[in-house]
Amino acid sequence: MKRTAVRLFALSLRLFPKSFRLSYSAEMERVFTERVSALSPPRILAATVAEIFDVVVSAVRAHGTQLVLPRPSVAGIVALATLATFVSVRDIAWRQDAEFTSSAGRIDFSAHDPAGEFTLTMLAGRPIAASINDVPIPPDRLLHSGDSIRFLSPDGKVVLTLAYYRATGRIEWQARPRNCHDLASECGI
Amino acid sequence: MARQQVESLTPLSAAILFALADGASHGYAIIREIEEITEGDMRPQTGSTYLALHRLLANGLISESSGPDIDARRRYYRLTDLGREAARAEARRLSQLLRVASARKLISGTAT
Repeated sequence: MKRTAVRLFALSLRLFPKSFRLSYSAEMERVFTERVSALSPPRILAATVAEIFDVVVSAVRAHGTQLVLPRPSVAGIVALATLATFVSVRDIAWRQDAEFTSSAGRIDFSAHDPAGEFTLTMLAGRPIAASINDVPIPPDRLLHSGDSIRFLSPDGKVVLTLAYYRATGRIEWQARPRNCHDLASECGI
Repeated sequence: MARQQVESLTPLSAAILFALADGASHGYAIIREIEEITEGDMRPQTGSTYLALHRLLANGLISESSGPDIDARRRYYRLTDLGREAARAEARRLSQLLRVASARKLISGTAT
């Protein structure tokens, strides 16, 4: 029950703008998990409905839209779950190029976006090596804060942002535009 | 500048500033602190709390901070000088309103 609730809540977080999600969704998922961990199943259900409704309202605000939403209903929750599933499946579709291997606390990850290939190696939850288009990024240019990992250019500009969700082992990233080929480009996100 | 920002503080944003007045804290602890200091009147949900934190960060009223937690995944937040000034201004404004409400016998048991 708790796992399903956390999964549904995590899906609902996809309604937030991507930049907001990359910064906060792993943390929000963690807070939600902590909040429901001590609850009985009926209270988990009630808390999940309330939290997801709050996410919908907050996501609308985060997108900068003024919208008065009705009170939560079964139909609304079903619609939200369907939308969240759709978004999830759509994301998976454009990540077919991603490769992910994990053993003994080490994760080797590589993926493509429109600007090219990038890789990331994590050890015990921390980034230890990375590259963009086969150009190595020194560890001192990998900025790790919360669940967010930012690749910096030599002049300190953010060129790629990833979010690592340790609980689920999921990695998300902000796709760079096609014309962002190298570290010197204007591709900060 | 702080006065201008205080005017646009939501009750949740103000509560977050008050919760951080004693020092840096992380998201879940902030939510628990708000529930405690408001005696359960405010029960902030996760999404709206993080949206408020995001806006307070963007307005320079709070900043990210290192915390005592050994788990690097937790983000800690603390008041900036501007945020502390905004919290004081908001507290003065609420205190003034409270005096008016009390004088007009709108608060039971506290009429003067």
